[in-house]
Amino acid sequence: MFSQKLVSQGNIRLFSTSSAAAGRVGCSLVKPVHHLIKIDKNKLSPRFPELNLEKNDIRNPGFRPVATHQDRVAEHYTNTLQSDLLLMNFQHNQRRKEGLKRRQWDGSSPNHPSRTLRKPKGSEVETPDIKIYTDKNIPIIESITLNCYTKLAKDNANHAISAALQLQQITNCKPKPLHSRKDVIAWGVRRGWLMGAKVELKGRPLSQFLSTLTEIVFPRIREFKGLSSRAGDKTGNLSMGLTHEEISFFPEIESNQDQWSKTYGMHINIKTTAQTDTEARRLLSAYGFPIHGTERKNAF
Amino acid sequence: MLRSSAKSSIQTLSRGFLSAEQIPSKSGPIQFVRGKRTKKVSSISPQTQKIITQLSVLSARKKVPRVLKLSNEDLVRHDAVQRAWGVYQKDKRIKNKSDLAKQYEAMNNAMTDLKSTNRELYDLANVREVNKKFPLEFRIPTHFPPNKVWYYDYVPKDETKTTKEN
Amino acid sequence: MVQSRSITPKVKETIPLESLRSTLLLARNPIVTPDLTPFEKVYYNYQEELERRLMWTFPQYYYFRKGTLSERRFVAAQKGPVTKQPGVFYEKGKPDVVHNRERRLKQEIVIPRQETEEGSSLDEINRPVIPNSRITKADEINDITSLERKLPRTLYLLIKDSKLGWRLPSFSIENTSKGLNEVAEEGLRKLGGEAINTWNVSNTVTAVLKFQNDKLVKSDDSSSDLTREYIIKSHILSGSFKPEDSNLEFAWLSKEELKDYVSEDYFNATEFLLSDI
Repeated sequence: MFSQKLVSQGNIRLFSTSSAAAGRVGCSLVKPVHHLIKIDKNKLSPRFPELNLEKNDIRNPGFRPVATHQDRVAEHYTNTLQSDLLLMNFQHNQRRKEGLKRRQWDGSSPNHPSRTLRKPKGSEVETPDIKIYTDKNIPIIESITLNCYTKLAKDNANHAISAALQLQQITNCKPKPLHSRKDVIAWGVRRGWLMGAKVELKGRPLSQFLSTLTEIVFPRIREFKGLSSRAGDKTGNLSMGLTHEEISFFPEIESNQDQWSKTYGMHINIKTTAQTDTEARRLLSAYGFPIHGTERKNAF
Repeated sequence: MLRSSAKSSIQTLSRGFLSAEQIPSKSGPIQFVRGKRTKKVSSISPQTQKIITQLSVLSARKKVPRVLKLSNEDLVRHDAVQRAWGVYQKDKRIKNKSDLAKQYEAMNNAMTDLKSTNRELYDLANVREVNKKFPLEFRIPTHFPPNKVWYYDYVPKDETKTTKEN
Repeated sequence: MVQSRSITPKVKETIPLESLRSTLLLARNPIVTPDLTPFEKVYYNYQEELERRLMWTFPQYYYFRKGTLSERRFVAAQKGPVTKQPGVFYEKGKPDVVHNRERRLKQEIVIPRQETEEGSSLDEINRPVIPNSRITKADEINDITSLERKLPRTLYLLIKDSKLGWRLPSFSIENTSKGLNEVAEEGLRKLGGEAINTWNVSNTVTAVLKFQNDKLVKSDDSSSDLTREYIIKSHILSGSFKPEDSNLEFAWLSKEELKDYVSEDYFNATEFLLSDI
C-alpha cells in the first residue's frame, strides 16, 4: 500500500523487499530506460572536440568533400527525366489502390478472436497501398548496394579480401565485410565466417557506377538481354547479378588484368522510391538499362 | 578471420602465414661469414604476399594525410562558400519543384478539360501504358559530343510491323 | 482509371471536333552536359582540391610490382617530395614524408609516357585524347534549323504559321478513333517527312491552351467558342524535320530563344513545360 502510493506520487523506482514477502512481484513498474539509450562515451570525452562536430564540417577529421565534380547522371534526371516520368506515371482520376492486407477470421472457431489475423489473399505478407502519382512521388534511384558473397571464401578467407578489394576498385568506396549469418551444413558454411564484402552507393559514386555499368559494361556482355520484367520485390526494388566474367569488363579490372586473374561475381540491388516494379523498370530504362519481357497485366 | 578448429581443413589467412613460413631449426654452430646475407629471404608464398598487398591497399595505414588545419579566416571563407553553395542548390531545387507542381496541375486540368470536351479522346488519353519504357536512344549527356553528333539517316520501320504499344 | 468509362454514361458531344487540336511539344534532348556557371566551376575546383588534399597515398606497390621495369619507370617519372634533413631550416614547414608522400599536401601523380617505336600500334593508344568541341558549326553560323546547335540545351521545334506567327506545331483532329498523341505524331510526319524518329512520352496530354478568336485566354475559361490545343510531349531521337513545303519556316530553339519568337502570352502559358537546361 505504502509503496504504491509512492509510485503514484512521483514515479520513484522502489525495490521493496517487503512487497515480495507480500506476494507481489519485486520489480519496478517504471520501465528501465538505461538499457535502451546507448551512450557513445567517446563523445563525452573533452579530448577531441572536433570529432563531435558534424561529418560535413571541415574541422572534423572525417570530413570529405562531396560535390567534387559535375554529376551528369543526376543532372540528366532533374533536367529531362523527372518531368517525363511525371507524365508517364500520371493518370487522371486515379484512386488509391489498396494493397493486400491481413483479413479477419470468419468466426467459426471460438479461438478466432485471439488468433492473429489471416494472411492476405494470394500473398504471405501485406503489401503497401499504391498511392496517387503526383509531382511529390516521382520515382528516383535512392541507392545501389553491391553484394559480393563468394562461395570460395568458405575454404579460404583470402577470397573475401580479394572480393572486398574488387568492390573498392570498381566503386571507389570503402566496402564492408560480409559474414555468413547461419550455419548451413549443405553449403559447408558456419555462422560468422567472412564470406565477402558489400558496399552501398549513394550520390556521386552511384552516378559514376551507374554510368560505367550502362555505358561500358552492358554493351560488352555478349547476348545480354537485360533486366527481366519479372524480377523485383514488388515494391520497386530491383536486383540483378553479374558473373565473374562480366566483372572483368569494368575498366578498373580490365586495365589491371595481371592482378585480377580471379574475379568475383556480385549482386546489384537497386533501391528506388518507385511504388511498383513496373515503375522502377521504367525509371531504369531511362538510364539505358535494357529490359526484356513484357510486364504483368495488372502491374500498376 | 580466425577459425579455431584445428581439425577442419579450412585454410585461414593466419594459418596460411604459419604454414608458409618454415621456421629454420636453430641447431648446429653459428658461423659468421662476411658478405653472406643475414636477412632471411622472404619465405611468404606469392599467394600470401598478394593478399598482404591487397589488405594494405584496403587499409588506411601509412596512407592518411595530415588533418586539415584551417586558420580562422580560412574557416570563415570556407563557411561562406559552403553557405553560398547551399543557397544556390536550394534555389535550384525550389525552382524545379515549383515547375513540376505546375506541370502536374496543368496535366490534371488539361485532362479534366478533355473529359468535358470529348469523352472518347479522353478515354484514349487515359489508358495506362503498362509496357511503356524509355527508348535506348535516350543517352545520359556526356561532357563532350560524340564524333557523329546527330544521326540523320533514320529509316522508318515498316508500319505494318509496328504494333500499338499498350 | 479505365473503369470510370463504364461507370459514367457517355456525355453528349456538344463541342465540335474542329475546335480541338493536338499540339506537339517536340524536344531534342541535350547531347552534352550543361555549361557550368562560373560559381559552379570554382566551387567544383575548390572541392576537388580539398578531396585531393585529403586523399590517401597512392598505393604504387599494388599497380607496379616491385622490381619490374614499369615500377622503375613510374618512380622515375615522379617528382619526389622534399625530405627532412637534420640542421636544415624549411621555409614552408618541416616535411612530413610517409611512403614517398608529403602528408601536408596533395599527392601529384605523374603517369610516365611509354616510349614506343615510331608507327607502332602503342603510339595510337598513347596519343593524347582531344575531345570534340562543344561548340559546333551550326553554333557558329547560328543555324536555327539545325539539330546540332546548342548541344548543352534542350531544343524545341517551332513552326511559323502564316496567320498566327511562331508556335508549336498543331494539328487538327478528324475523328475520335485515334488518340491525341497519334494525331500529333502523324501530323508531324505529314509536315516534316517520314524520316524522323520520335518517342512519345505518354498518351496523356500535358497541358491545354485555350484560344478565343486566335487570342490566348486563361486555362480556366469555359466559354463556348473556344479553340483548345492539347499539348502532347515527345522527343526526337534521330532523323530530322524536313518540311516538304519549302515555304514552311521552322526552328529548333532553346527556352530563352523561344521567348523572343513567340508572343508573351504564349510563352507564359508554355514556360513551365520547357526545360531550363
